[in-house]
Amino acid sequence: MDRPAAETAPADNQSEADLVRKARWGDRDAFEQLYRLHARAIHALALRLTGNRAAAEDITQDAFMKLLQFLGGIRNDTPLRPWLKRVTANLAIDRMRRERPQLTEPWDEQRPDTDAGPALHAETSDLLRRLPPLVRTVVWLHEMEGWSHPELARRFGRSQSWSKSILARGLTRLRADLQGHDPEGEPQHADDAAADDDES
Amino acid sequence: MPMTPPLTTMNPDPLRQHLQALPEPELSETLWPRLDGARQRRLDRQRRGAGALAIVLVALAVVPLLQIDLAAPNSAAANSTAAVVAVPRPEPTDIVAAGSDIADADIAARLRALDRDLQAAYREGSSDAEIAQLWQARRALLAGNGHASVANPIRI
Repeated sequence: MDRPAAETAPADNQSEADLVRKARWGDRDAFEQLYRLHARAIHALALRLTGNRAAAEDITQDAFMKLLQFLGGIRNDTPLRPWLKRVTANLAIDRMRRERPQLTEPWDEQRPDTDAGPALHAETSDLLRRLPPLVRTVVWLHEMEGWSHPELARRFGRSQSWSKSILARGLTRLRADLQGHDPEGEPQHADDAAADDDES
Repeated sequence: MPMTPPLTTMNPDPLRQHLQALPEPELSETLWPRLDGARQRRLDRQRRGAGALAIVLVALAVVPLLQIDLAAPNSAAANSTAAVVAVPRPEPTDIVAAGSDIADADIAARLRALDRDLQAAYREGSSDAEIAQLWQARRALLAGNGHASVANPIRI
């Protein structure tokens, strides 16, 4: 890679394209560089969704193995991170469905995951971990990863109303907990009303 | 996949800001070695599979070229080092055909008789000495007729 360091996003994409091409041909170093570029973000997503460090590492490994498997079908100029994030989310959902086949009553499981590790941001991450895994997954994928309700419904095999209901209750819970932690926080009644309207 | 604004709020959301502010945790140092090991194992499996496939393809290509005759039960006997006693039952007509240049009908008749005797000797399990005598007589008959080149029995 002989590009000057002053170039910005197009050079980054070009560099990643070079790495993808080399990794496709079995270049171990190129694959490792792709790992170094994206693993932290992928691992963070897996950890948010699972709340479990060991599970997050397993999912991260599986996501990059899938990248290795499907490198031949990925165009050189395709940004890898969105692809990897989608794969990671699907792996986390599959894992959750295997471990918890009954997804009809997500609020039944109230106990937080306790194996999130010390590196998480204490306040908000604790609140996030308090949510049941399914609710946490829906909230994070919708709010932070941009998944739509139709996508969530399809992925979980449920209706859009179900997705909206889960999201609304999850956000309400988070905001209430956050307000309880933040003495300067204001109740978000308007947003809760909007969430209730979405359910109707 | 592009980020879409959440349906639950259109204003800056403190919750969203809190969520966005969450730091990415450090990666375990063991994760890359695990992944690298899995990558290498996958590569090894692919190579073994490719090698096995190559062997199968080569075998499929080579076998038809060998032209192995698996349907000749007498051929082993014909390959015996004891050529005098190991010849399978020769058909008189074949023996005569091998000596088709023999003009003398009498010689041909005597050869046919010797061949019948040989067949009978093999069929009845005569001793090696008896069979060897018959072959010796046959060779002498042919040699006496000036056909030493056909003294050895032909392989049927």
